[in-house]
Amino acid sequence: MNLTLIFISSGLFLGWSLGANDAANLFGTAVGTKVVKFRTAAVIMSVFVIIGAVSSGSGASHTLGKLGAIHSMPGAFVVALASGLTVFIMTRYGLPVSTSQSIVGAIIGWNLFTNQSTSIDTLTKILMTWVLCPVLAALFSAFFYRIFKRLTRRLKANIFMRHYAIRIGLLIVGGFGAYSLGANNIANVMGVFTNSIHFEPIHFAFFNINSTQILFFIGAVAISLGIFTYSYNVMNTVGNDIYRMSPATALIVVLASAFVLFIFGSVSLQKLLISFHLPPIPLVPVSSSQAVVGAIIGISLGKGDYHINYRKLRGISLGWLFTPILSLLLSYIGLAIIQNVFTQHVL
Amino acid sequence: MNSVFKRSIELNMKIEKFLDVISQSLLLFEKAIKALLKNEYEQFNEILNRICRLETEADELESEIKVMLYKYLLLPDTRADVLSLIKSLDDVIDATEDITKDFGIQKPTFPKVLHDGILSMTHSSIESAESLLLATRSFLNEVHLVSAHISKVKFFEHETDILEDKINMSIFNDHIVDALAEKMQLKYFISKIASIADISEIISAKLTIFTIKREI
Repeated sequence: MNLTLIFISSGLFLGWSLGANDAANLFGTAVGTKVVKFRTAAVIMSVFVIIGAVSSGSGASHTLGKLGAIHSMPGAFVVALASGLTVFIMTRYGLPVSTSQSIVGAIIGWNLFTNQSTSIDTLTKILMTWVLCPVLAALFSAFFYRIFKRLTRRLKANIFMRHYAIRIGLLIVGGFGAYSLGANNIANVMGVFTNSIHFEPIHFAFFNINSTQILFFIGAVAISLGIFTYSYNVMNTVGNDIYRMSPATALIVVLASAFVLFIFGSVSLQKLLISFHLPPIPLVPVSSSQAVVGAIIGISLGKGDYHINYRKLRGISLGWLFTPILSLLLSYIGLAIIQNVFTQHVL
Repeated sequence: MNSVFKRSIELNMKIEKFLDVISQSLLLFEKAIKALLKNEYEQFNEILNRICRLETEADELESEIKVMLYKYLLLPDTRADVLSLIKSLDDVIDATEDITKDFGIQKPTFPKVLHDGILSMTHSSIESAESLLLATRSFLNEVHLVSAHISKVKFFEHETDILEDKINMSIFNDHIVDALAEKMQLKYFISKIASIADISEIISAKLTIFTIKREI
């Protein structure tokens, strides 16, 4: 068990950094403009991240498993560590980064090191989803912007009512965003450990929690720790776009981003689509930060401003390129060290 | 939740009343200038008393609004902005009262040839403040209309400036006033009337920022 804790620590570190960074995307504006207290936001986010991760985290994790099924704990430890280090290095140098992209690079690094084949089908699906993520977020936010604008003009609520409505909206949407983040991104944090770490299932009166769900619960707690211990600093110090938005705009941006994360993370939605004989949406971990950038561009499109900020798009593209490459290299080097220096089996 | 909405409606109504009081004082100010130019001092004093009463009422409303904002509304950002706006708007009625009092004390005599210009300038200055009040009402109820009213504030402020320059030019160059002291006194009152539009423009700039913060 103690060894398990040591090996899982890299995933927990990744979860902590995800919580610290991504929480700002969901509640940055609400907390920054003092519409919602940080403690309230942190509690809501933590609760919903845990619910999302435990109830719906398996979908995106399954896709990562298809890319590379890591059956050894030391191997999974190195992959998660390489991903965490990539996030740390890229953030340190102010480069755009996503845990989703770094974990994929690290898994491919493991595939290369262990001579496992990488499923081109799965990889293509993942790459297409990364491109689709900001595009869909932009479309959703442009659509929501139009609806919100029409609605606010029609309702004619006074400034105080509007403020209360936005406050409640930000809480609900932030909760939904946290649920979707948990469902979609827990795969980045704990996905690589699902084949190597096994817990005894826990039986409750009306439901059971299986080994993967216990693992996801632990990962979600690490995300929550990141939210409580460090996200406030990130919200206050990082010059992210989301802080310069009005609370009403943030409401639309967070809603659109949460929708995208939900679509690419919800097992229930996938089942629903299949039941209607519709093509299922691939469940793939996507970047909440890139969804936010897409949603901000979408608001401009909704306003009729078609001047796209190409600097932002270049930032996303660089993230797609450099993050997986760096994490692949770190993963490969790390695996070589742990196998040859620490004589651990990585396969 | 019900009480939140009820209180927000109550507060909104109180602010609307505060704006009505300012609007009435502006209308009375225009009447006071007309009475002064016609040398109808009895009527002028009666109007001055009404403006003073309205100013007291505005002060009372301002403190009631302040209490309500602090007591019932836990929205720091909106509270701070509304409070700052109410404080600034109180400057408009304060200025109106001060200028009218000054007119009452000094009773300046303007040459007849300037009367039309002074009335036009007073009207334009008042219109600027009235547009600011409309912008504030929109800020409270329909944010998307604020910018249209603010553009009128700027327009009337500019018109007031043009008329002010014209009148001052006439005072100093058309040999209609002899003594320099008198010229200076008339210029002082002209700039005082125009100051209502200037104050309105300054407040409108603040309101623009508050509006941007709330736009979607």
